Amino acid sequence: MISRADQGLQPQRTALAWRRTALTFLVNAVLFLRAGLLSRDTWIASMGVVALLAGALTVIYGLRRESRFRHGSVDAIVVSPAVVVAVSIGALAICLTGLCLVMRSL
Amino acid sequence: MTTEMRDKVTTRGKWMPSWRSEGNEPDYRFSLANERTFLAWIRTALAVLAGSVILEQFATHISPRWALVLIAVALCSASGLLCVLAYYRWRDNELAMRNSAPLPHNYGIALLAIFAVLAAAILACLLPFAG
Repeated sequence: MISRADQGLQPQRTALAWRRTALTFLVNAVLFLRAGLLSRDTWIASMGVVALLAGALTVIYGLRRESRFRHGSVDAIVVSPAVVVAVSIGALAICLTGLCLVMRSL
Repeated sequence: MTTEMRDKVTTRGKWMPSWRSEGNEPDYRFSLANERTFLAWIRTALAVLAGSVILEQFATHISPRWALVLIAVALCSASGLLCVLAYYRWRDNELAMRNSAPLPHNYGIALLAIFAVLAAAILACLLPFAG
């Protein structure tokens, strides 16, 4: 079992970190949606939707892990490398879309 | 953390790269701290991206336009680099913790600082001439 002293601290901080990350996905989603809808660019707008989904997935994953922590489930402590890779690739995809969005006016 | 707890700590997910079985499982608190740092880098990358998009979309009165777009492109590239860096930093730290080696040096901080200073300096030069 996770010691009582750590129960509220480390897992909660990690869950909060996931939530903050979800927020940045959502902020970028709003920016892309706005840019895509204004310029009637369906690809940019759809990447906005993808970013929205990424944000939602991040929130859900954070909540899942937090509930696992609370039940003292030891095998849920360390994040799976697959999730880390998925988050990196998702964020990279959004960055590349941003690059295309910004380069359009060149 | 008791030894039996340490033995039971495994990672979820079906895919595990080979380096995952190297060394010893680190204290879970260090792994969580590493994970939070990874997320912080991802957030930084996405914040730089948001800044770049906002700059390109809303700073319409700054001339010349191509200089502004160039800054935005540079910031977007930096954000993409930071995403890749975030994963490798997380992975290298996990490996170092597993093998009880010193934590590797992180170049992302220098990269970020240089980009931020350059972008701010160029914008500061452009702003007085804004229409």
